Amino acid sequence: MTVVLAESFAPTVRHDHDGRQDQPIIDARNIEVAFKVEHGVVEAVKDISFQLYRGETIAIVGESGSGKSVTARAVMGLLSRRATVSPKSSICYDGQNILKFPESERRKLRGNRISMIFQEPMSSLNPIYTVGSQIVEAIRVHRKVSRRQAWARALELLRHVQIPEPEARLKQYPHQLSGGQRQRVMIAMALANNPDVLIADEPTTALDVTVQAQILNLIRNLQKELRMAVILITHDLTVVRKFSDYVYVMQHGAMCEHNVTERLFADPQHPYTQRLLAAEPRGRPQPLPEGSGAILEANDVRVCFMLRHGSFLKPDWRELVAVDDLGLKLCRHETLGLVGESGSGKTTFGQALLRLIDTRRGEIRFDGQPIQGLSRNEMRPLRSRMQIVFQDPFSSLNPRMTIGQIIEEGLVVNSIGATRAERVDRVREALVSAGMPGDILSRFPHEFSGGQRQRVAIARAIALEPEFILLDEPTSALDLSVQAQIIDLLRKLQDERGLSYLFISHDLKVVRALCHRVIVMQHGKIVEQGPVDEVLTNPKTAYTERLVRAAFDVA
Amino acid sequence: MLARDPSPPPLPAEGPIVAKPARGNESYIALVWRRLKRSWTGMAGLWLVVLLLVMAVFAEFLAPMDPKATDVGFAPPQLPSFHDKDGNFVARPRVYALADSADLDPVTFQPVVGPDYDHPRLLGFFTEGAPYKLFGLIPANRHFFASMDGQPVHFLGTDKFGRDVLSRAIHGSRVSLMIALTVVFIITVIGTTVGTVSGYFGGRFDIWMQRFVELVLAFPQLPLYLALTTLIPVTAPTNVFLAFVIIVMSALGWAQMSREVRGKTLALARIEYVRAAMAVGATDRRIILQHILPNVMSHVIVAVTLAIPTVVLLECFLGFLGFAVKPPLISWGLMLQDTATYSVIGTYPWILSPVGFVLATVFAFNALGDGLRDAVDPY
Repeated sequence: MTVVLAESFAPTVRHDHDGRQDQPIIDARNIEVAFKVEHGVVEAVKDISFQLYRGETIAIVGESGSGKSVTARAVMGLLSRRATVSPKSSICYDGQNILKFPESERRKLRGNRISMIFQEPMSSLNPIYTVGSQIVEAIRVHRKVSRRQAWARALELLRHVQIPEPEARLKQYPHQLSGGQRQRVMIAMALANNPDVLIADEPTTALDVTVQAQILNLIRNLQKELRMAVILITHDLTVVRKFSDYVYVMQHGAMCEHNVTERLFADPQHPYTQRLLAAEPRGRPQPLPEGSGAILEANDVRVCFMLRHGSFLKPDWRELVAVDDLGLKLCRHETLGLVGESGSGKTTFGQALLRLIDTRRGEIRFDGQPIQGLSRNEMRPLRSRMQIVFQDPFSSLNPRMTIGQIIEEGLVVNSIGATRAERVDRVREALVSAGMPGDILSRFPHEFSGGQRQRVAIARAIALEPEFILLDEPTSALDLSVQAQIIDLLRKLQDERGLSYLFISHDLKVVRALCHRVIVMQHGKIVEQGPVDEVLTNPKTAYTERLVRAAFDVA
Repeated sequence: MLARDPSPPPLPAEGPIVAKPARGNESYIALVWRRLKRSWTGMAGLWLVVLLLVMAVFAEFLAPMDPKATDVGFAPPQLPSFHDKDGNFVARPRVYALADSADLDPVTFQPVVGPDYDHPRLLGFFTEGAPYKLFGLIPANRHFFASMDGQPVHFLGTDKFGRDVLSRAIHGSRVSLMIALTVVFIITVIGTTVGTVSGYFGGRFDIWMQRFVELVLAFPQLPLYLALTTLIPVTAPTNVFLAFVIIVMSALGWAQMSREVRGKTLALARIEYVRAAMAVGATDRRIILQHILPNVMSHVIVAVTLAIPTVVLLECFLGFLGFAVKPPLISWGLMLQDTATYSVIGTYPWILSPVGFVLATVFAFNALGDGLRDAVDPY
């Protein structure tokens, strides 16, 4: 088989999946993995087969809990102790079934012939060793080379993964590198022994959108150069389309469909795949009614954090300006997007507008009333009119309270509803509006999935019948198909109740589907703002352009 | 987002929202109980703790004898026997008291002491014996397991005044556990209050509170105990003395608990559901009581079960030195005071038996605490 790789992003390796003569480098058949739990076993992976050929990238796609990571770990031999691989499974590497190998033999493959990159570059490097010594260790575990040779190789690898100033980086510790650089180091470690197979398990999920594209391009270029086979595990269909040759779609631990990438995207067969593809956020917000007044106005808002430098004896306090004299105006019925990479200060700005964080100076008006100087007690009457929905539905609901108590709390605190029965009615109504059944009041948050919890969090916000809701990345912790549902829900609620949203996100796709106007932030400053269409189609700054390209660039 | 390993059981498609209970509608307690049951040491600890508490509450009933009644001093343990004088098996358990035979040792001319086979003391359950008042109210005289006719039996021997060691140890559990539970209760109330308030409000109050906590933690405890306990006059009534000991132990013990609670509160105060409560306008009081306290409570319960054995040991230690409990109250520490002389332990080792009770208590609470630690955070 000849592999021709063009410069374009479109997958160019074509193959007839079953009719090839070439022997696959990895031939996995009937993988079945079960986990022992309290009441019997849970089958995490059921009868999964896939083939991986030299020089190609396959993508394993699925939502959380679909078993894609478990499959990858089975190939690596990194399953937890509670997992059992069924005896009829076989994973052949170069024609040999590695599941039959003893642990010592598998260790020789791991990190040597088959390498893996993990999702979290923050926690997969050891914080107490320098970057260099960790790469050197990865080399010397598998090869008998001198320390000097290993260091030279480490330097070469860092150059390869395009880290600036590689000599200096070798002697640095992981915390001195950025997330993207750490992921590059992880890739360098994975490549240390020229592996045949590279498994990338959500390699960019924890990274900023603009860094994502760089890392994926890097993997692609390295693959071309080293003729590796890559297994890309992801939930991001844009990434799949851009970088993979062949796609396997998993759901609930089973394989629903597999095909050449282009064909799969053009003509999905399985209903789940169809739903997954249709789940991309779409639709546009309702046009703004004429002459709607401002609900929230802010001018010159500045938020600072004090950081201590210097020694204990001679402390040196420095100011970190997280939000640098920003202003905005949000009209009734409007959705304003607040976009930027992590650390750009968008969440801080949003919470400062709600007076959940203290501002250094500036003016904030809610419905014409200045609120910047109000104490917490003075803010209390206004609280029911402004609400917030957080990013992580797992930490935003108190695990010790029932759904009913969680939603009712705002009503109790603000003395809404004369009797308990009246409040319960309102709680039910809010739940139903948020697309949840009304009979779950006595259940606890842990009984629900992420998407359901986010609906509960939204119900908590709308139960108070606010006029304004701050949405702090409400969809980014959720699966794609759930994301689309939540966006539809938010849009529906806005239409029904005339809500105004301040929508914080890094995902411009979601922003396009939901927002009228958008503000782009970087380093605590506003870089660009304007109507969504204008900003997205015609970005004026390089930063915005990068964000737009990261979100929409499929070609 | 990826599932954490191991993958949760597959969820039904999100499309039509079906409220799907993960495992039925279980309360928090039920979840903790189910996880605690999985740890056999935790369960062993739990049963032992229950036994100890039952023993303390029904001490008079369970003790075979009146703990103050005197008999022969330093009598060795009498084990229940199923044999009569001739070595034949008999169904009724009995003990043979030691008695002087009329003979003298031909060499030393000391009286020969041996089991008195002619007067077996038959044993039985629910026998009538020394009268007592159950819970200090109900007059009774039934004992769980003692001699049928109210004659003395000493399963663990007697001390130097001839008092029954087993009965005293059972009664001693009452004071020892009472001290431990009271001290830990006071520690918990103060420590949790200070910890949550300090951790939640932070700022200047937290800084000064923590310096004070450090001051308490840094105190050299033993000299302080000795100094403080000598402050109280020797003639003071025992109850006053006991209360004083409890106050001193609590005053020095709350700091550690408040540190632990504060650490947990610091983390919780920044978590999003607390922010969400602020955003709906909840007061500080409500946030602390509804959101912070229930979530630190699991850690507090673990800390409590681990604090109890330390107080039991402390009481034992101070009691041994004669600073904790004064007669006529009985505690394990006080009983061990008799073992201060080495020669006494060598000759009459059974007076060390309160150590067994202390060991069982420490093991029980520690095992329960370890089991609970794994079980309290089921989410």
